[in-house]
Amino acid sequence: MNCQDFHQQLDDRLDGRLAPPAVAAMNRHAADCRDCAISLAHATALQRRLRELPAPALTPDFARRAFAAAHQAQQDTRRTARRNALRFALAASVAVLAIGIAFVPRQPSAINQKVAAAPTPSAQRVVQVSSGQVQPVRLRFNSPQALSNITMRVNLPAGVELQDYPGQRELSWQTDLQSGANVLELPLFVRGNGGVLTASLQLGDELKQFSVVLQTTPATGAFRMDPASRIAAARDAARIDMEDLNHA
Amino acid sequence: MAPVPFQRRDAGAPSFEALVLPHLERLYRLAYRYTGTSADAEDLVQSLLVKLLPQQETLTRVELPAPWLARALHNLYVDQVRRRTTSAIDLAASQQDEEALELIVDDKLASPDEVAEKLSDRDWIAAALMRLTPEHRALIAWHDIEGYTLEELAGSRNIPLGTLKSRLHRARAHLRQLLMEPSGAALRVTG
Ligand SMILES: [Zn+2]
Repeated sequence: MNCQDFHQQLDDRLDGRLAPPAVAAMNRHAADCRDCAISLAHATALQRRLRELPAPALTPDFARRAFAAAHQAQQDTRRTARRNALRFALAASVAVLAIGIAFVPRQPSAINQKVAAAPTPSAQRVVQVSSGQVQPVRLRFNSPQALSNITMRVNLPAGVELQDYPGQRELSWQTDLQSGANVLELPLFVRGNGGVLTASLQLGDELKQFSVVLQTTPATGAFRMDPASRIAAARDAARIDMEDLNHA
Repeated sequence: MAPVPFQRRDAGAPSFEALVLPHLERLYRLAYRYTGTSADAEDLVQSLLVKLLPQQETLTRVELPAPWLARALHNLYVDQVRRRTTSAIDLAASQQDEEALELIVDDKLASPDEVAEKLSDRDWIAAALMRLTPEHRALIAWHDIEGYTLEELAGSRNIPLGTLKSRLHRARAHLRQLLMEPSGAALRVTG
């Protein structure tokens, strides 16, 4: 072993990564080489000194202050993000898609052709539903960023029920929106003549409301299902498949 | 019951404080080694908490929170100093530093006895640490002072262990070089 080898292995030796034979070889070299012996002594002493370097203790109050400041920073960020998102973006769109049924703008048929080409106002949509059967109505909410702790409220007109929630005209729950499209699929059972369904999203004191006109048509053979497949369809519909949104 | 929630939340998760508080003292000590002052160390730890709070869920799933948190602090510090020193001049200076490390000019060295004396002077060692580049100082603080392993550091950014070892080698060589300078020369540089 020469001095260069010795210095190259010094770090591994300090870290205890060196095998015993290599340690012995270094010791043999250091026994004959004063410079390397001194290097080893200094490096070892420095290693020990570094471990012993003092550090001040944490100020007793620091933990409380630091956690409080972190929570405050997060609240500030969230509040700003939510407010901006609701004001500038969620306003943008609720699209109502009823599977297999096209939208009809609620205007006299005389101007229907002209209006159909123009962007439909998002505030009120009409969807045709068939009475006497369960069918999914999908509401799509676009949000430019994730929002948490949204209160979602759905109000149903008389004669319309949400599958598994018979007799309930109003349902509300807490939910989160992911960035991009969020589809809420409502398996609706329409008994009567339809009416206006409203969905609202509330975040703090910000409220965004959307309404959808459910217009009934008599059930046709194409949409009628037997009771068993109706339940299966309803189960499918109650699930929100986020994966599908990428293709929407 | 929510009929069709978009997303479920975990109700029984431990609080952010419960996850981090047991490690706070050690994180602060590491931050102090990096920055050199209590005030800067507090600022660094504070920034870390702000950054980690939104990642609470990830932290809940971490198997070994101590090195994970220390690594997050290390990365935050390195990011901060890199952002501060992105000017071409600073980069060139640190580059030269790295290349000069292995050159120890014999006639400038203090005698072995002088070095041994300096090694018993904590303030001298602390001052030499502050003359290292921030990244070299951080590596020595991580491994040689606070006793975290290079493997624990390598985990974070997929840095090869060999790269970390050679960086630590250069950092140590530089520190030894600084400690072996005669007092007069060192005073001239630091003063
Ligand atoms: Zn030698």
